[in-house]
Amino acid sequence: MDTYRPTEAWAFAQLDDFWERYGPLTPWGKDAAEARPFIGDRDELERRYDDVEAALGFLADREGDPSSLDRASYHLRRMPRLALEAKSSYELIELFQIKKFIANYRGARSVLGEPLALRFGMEGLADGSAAKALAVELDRGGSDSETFYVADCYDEGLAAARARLATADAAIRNERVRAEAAARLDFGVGFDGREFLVLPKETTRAMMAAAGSRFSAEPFDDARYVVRILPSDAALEAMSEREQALADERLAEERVIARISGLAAAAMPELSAAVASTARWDLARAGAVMANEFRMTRPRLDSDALKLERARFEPCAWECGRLGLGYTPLSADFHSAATVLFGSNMGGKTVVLKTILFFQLLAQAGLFVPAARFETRVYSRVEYVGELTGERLAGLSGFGLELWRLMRARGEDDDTPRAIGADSRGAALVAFDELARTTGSHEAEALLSAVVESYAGGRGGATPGNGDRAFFATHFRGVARLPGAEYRRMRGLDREAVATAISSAEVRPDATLDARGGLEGRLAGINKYMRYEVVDDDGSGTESDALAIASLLGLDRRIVERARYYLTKDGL
Amino acid sequence: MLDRPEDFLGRVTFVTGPEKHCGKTTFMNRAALLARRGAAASGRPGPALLTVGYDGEARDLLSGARKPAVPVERGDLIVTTERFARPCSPEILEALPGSTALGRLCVARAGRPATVALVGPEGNSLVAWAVRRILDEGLGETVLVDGAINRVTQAASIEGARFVYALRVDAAGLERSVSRVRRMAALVDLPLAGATADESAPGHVVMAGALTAETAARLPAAAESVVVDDFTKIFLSDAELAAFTRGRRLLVARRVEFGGFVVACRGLTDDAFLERLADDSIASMVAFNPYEERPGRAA
Repeated sequence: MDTYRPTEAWAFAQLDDFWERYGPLTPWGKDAAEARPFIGDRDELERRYDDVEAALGFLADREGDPSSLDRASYHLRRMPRLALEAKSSYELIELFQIKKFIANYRGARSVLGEPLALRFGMEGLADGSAAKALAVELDRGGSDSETFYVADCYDEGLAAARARLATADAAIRNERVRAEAAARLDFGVGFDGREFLVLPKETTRAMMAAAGSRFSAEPFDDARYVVRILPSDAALEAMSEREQALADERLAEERVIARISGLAAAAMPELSAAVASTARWDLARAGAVMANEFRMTRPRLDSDALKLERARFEPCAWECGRLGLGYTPLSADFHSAATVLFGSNMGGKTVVLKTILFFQLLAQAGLFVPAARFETRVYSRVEYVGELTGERLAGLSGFGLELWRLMRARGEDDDTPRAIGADSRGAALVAFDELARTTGSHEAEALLSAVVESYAGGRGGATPGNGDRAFFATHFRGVARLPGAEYRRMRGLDREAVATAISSAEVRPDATLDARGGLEGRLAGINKYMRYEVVDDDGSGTESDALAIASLLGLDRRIVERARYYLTKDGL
Repeated sequence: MLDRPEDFLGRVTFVTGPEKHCGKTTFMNRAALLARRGAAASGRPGPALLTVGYDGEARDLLSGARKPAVPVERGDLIVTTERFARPCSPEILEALPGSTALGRLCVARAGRPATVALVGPEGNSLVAWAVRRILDEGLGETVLVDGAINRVTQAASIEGARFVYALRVDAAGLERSVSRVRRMAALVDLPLAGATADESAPGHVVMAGALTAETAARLPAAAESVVVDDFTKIFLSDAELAAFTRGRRLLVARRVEFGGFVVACRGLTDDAFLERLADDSIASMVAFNPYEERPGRAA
């Protein structure tokens, strides 16, 4: 069975926007971030939070030492991906990567200091260990700690072969210099290090007639020849010696590579552990950097209730910032297994759902959350039932898709995968946004009531504290009031504030916002008078803010008044 | 022009050409030799040599049919596979991400003189990655890239980079070659959009893709100025380009610095080429075969 991924909840909660700010630096850290983890094991989550806290401590401790912080990220950034399987023979590039990893692993440990490095499992290369033996051997080849070549010192035969190669190269070079000088002296032709020359026919003929054994010539076109210097006997002899020395060098290099490969294979368990501990530190550091940037706090996973205090749904806060609108962090406690959230258009109830999923998914990714406080528990699944950006749920197909998502959220699909670390299907956190919006209001309210009822009864667990928890954002005021469910609403339009604004001429007497700002300006105006707070709903409310908002946006007053008439007439 | 160390030292030069066997690698070898001398004289690191992808020479090498084509000296940097780097006793300095059909690529420093085969990354982004790595890590200052003309876009993203255009000219193809040179000279001289055009002005069209005869025909009649990303997105012949720019202004969003033409004449003289070109301003951008000894010209 595949690992569970809360794909739709992730998309609904706009986590990708935020996730881009999460920046592990090593290849393995990046892989882990790319995988968008969803962890269902509380112990593992607490361990990750502990890691982030430890990393936060490190960052705070080094706050006045920017070069130390730079070095911490420098070494992680330079870690190469490396082969971690034991092989009989490694390529030079692979040995280089191992050496570069070890150099930066040592650097990272040095920056962290022994206690913190050990806290993350970053053990030193112990004397006598296979990894230490490998590191010592790799350090013998390369002009610095991160580069690698098969140095002469590795093998006596190698040094001897290379000495012969150097002698042969010098002889070949000297012969070439001598031949070029002679060509200049005898024929006024300067090769100047060039492999060949294109020369006039007459010059070539003179050279070939006088010294044909020193040059080769082939026609370039009807007036010129390509002329090359032929190697002298001494150069030919040196070339022959060079070929033999090259073969000997090759054999010696293979001996060296085989020996170092043996050391590398033996060190692989230690290197694998070093990679894993480095990745752990990398993820913790990235989590801590993000926690500092967004003033994030450690989630508490021991609460039967779901509690948020000054919880900032950052993607929404950014969008509000771009639009010049105010953003209100969410503070609310939810105790029941089923919460129904009413609210008018633009009242923020969908944002509340997004905020809840955003926080739960961040917490179950092993990260801190941007709130003064977030209390929750670990779920095996986080689901979303509703419309996603870019989708348009309409008609039968839309209703079908909605029901399919509903059934999947309820685990009625046997193929539903499990979260990392979850040992059973376990409890789910589910957000329903306008369930049954695509069907008639009467049937929709009935269906919604039945689904609320199924969760309110403690679905998926013996008590509300360990079963599923569901949130329902809806327009439908007729949903049944059921025991075990809690009913909330968005506070919505602050009509007193609107009245005050009218008296101060901020809003026109007909309760219409100044139209000079166009739609954007009017939306900003509504934002100003909207209170994005979750309050208890006792069921006594009759009129939502929809008509008031329509009025503020400038809808024909006669239509608004008639709408109020029909609202009252029908006793709604 | 293009025959002195300072023409290459401390900069990134893409050696391009219109087709295979137009002399790109041969010219790069000469440029490398000049750069090497200049570097030695001024105490700078040796040149870095790269190619884009792998060509027939590299493939032939697999069967042993041909010799490696690029001479290197101790201290030069190369980008190639470990196997092809072996003859120069390489010190591995960096590994490129991913792999090619011929193996993994690395940035290596030559430990001794040798001739090697260069194998380069296939993707434009990896070419730029390798060049930036060499420059940013301080491994080298002078970079020579043997690459096809459609890779020139990469040069635009690297500060100080430029390209040269190598071509072989024979008597039978003189007209076509002259046309190519004129076209390229016109393309590299196109004005930069940001500096000269009001993008919100009516009649200003920014093209998302290539400018071809077909896409040009579909442009609105009112389009007075047309912007393409860079000149490599223009696929108009010399005559089509001339006709297009008679009716409108053609601009580029990014300009690629041009180093000049390297022309190797075969079956005709350099003077005959210049005479047919008949344009002094373009002639000033032309260097001739650097392997040719001409009367009165010192090597």
